[in-house]
Amino acid sequence: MTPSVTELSLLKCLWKQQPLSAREIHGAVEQELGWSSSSTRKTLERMLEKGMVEQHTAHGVQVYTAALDKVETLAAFAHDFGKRVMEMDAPLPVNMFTGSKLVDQQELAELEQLLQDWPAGKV
Amino acid sequence: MGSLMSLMLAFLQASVTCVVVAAVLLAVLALVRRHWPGVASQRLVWLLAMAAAAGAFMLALAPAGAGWRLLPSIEIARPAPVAAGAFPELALDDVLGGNDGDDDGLARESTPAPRWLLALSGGWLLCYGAGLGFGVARLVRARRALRGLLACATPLDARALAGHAGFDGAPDRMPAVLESGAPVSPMLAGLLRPVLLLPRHLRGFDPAQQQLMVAHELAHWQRRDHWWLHASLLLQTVFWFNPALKALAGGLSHAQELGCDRHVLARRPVAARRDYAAALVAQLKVQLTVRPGGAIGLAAPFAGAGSGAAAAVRERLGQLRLPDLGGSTRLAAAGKTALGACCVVVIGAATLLQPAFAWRTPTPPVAGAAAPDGAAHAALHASRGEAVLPVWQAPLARVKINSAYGPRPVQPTSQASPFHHGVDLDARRGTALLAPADGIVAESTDLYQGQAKFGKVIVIDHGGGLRSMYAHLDQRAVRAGAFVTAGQAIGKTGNTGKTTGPHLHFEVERDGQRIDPQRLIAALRAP
Repeated sequence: MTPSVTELSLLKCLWKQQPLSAREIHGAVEQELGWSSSSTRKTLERMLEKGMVEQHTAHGVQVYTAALDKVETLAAFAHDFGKRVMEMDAPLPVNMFTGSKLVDQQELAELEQLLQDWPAGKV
Repeated sequence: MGSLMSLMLAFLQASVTCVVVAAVLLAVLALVRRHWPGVASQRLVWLLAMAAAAGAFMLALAPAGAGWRLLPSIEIARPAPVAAGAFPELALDDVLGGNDGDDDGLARESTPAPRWLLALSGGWLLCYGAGLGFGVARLVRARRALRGLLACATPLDARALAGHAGFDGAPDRMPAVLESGAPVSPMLAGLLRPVLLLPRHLRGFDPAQQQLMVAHELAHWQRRDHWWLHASLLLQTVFWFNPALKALAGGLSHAQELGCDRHVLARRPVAARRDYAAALVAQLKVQLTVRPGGAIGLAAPFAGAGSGAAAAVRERLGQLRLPDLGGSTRLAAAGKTALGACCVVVIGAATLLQPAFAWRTPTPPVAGAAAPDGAAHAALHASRGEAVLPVWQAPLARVKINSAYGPRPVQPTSQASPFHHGVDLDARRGTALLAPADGIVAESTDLYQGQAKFGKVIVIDHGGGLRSMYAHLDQRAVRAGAFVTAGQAIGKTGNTGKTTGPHLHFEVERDGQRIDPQRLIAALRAP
């Protein structure tokens, strides 16, 4: 299960401070996502169904806590997004150090050989 | 409908032009590159070539371009527009059929665009739209994945940067820096507020290598490479159908990397070059872990792209081994000017050397014409014993005949001639009067032939001995000498002069003889 970028924004907000009410979460992400509070509530409902967040009642207010661990989730998501970005067939709006295409094992071996043969001392 | 067809044809033509121009420039650059390898690292050259391909497309699409072309036009005959909306019973085929009967000679004169060409251009327009939609969707998907990657990354503040070995000796002004757990390549992402995304594994590299890689990405930022990259992306998306343009974009991106490599190493000791090359290869090695099972699972779709990527890296390593980092082969200003001139020449050639598709509206034949084909015409029709008349549109949007040309069954007034030399059309005061065909206003007067009985009158000279006259107008919107085009509003109908009610009286004259306007205007022949 991969969360959308917006779901991740809500999770990051909860990881910083929790529990939070829907109103408080919306206040924190409003600027970043630029959407209405009903969108935040809708996303929270969906995340509740998916088990990404948990809901409790505190002082008569519905509050949310993150059900996913921050470090694990971010690592998994980062890896997933990273994989998608690096395998993306479409041209990407980024300047990458290695260029935006991957090389395979055999090509890598050839490049390493090129390094081995690097002229020693002065070039 | 005619304008849509001409747009479709122009679009097809512009697309082909764009592909040809890009292919020619790519070939020229490949040739230049063989003698002058330094051109590979000149981003301006590649962007200029892409801009030239885009420019050729725009020029081919611009209607003004048609006037500059040297090759003969491919002409498509069509009847002059008839107010078809007002006469649903008049199908286009009827009009064409009528046209054939009257204007055989004209139809024969022009080379009609084959039906398959029209079908092809229509199909291409649809195909282009679908491809563009697909391209935009792909871009949105890529952006979303990138946003996800950035969202998972941790921002590095000043203190964190101070503790990062890669930022030793980095400049004070920098884009925001993020660190990701994903084994991606260091990258500069975004357009207006670009961010530098570094993988966490970078910290495991030798500190000198870390600094080189960070310096490389910062060089992109300093050189404003992200602007160039986005421009290239935009062109690639708009001209998705152009493989040569895609290759040029690849050249641009490669030129940016080569340029940054040189920028970073130019002011560093020679020993740093091997470190740099090793960092490049080490980074590629880490990236392989992104794909589960390395290349095994995805051999097919990545085989082509992968080999290209390896070739690009090999070329970068090759440049690092040159004593001057390829710097001495840099293009001088003169070289850049020459390449710029080359682009202009290619665009110019592309614009001039393509046939213009031109919609050809049959024009009135010039009587006793000076033009040789006009003479042929006259001969043709003389043999048929009948002169050709052009097809005009109706002078009013809605046509209802009150009194046709010919002997009058009823005298409207005691002075009226028993033979009606014009047509009376039902028209409320203020109805727009439209020029039935192109021409020059010969008269616009309140005293036609010195008499007030015609009220306000406009006379248009259509050339070829044809004139049309409109009487009893409420307003005249054109002056004598003005050029009018078919369908142009030239005044308002009214009730001026001697009339029994508001209407439009109009006459058509050929060589001074009044003729039945029905012979030119199909709408008047309708039941």
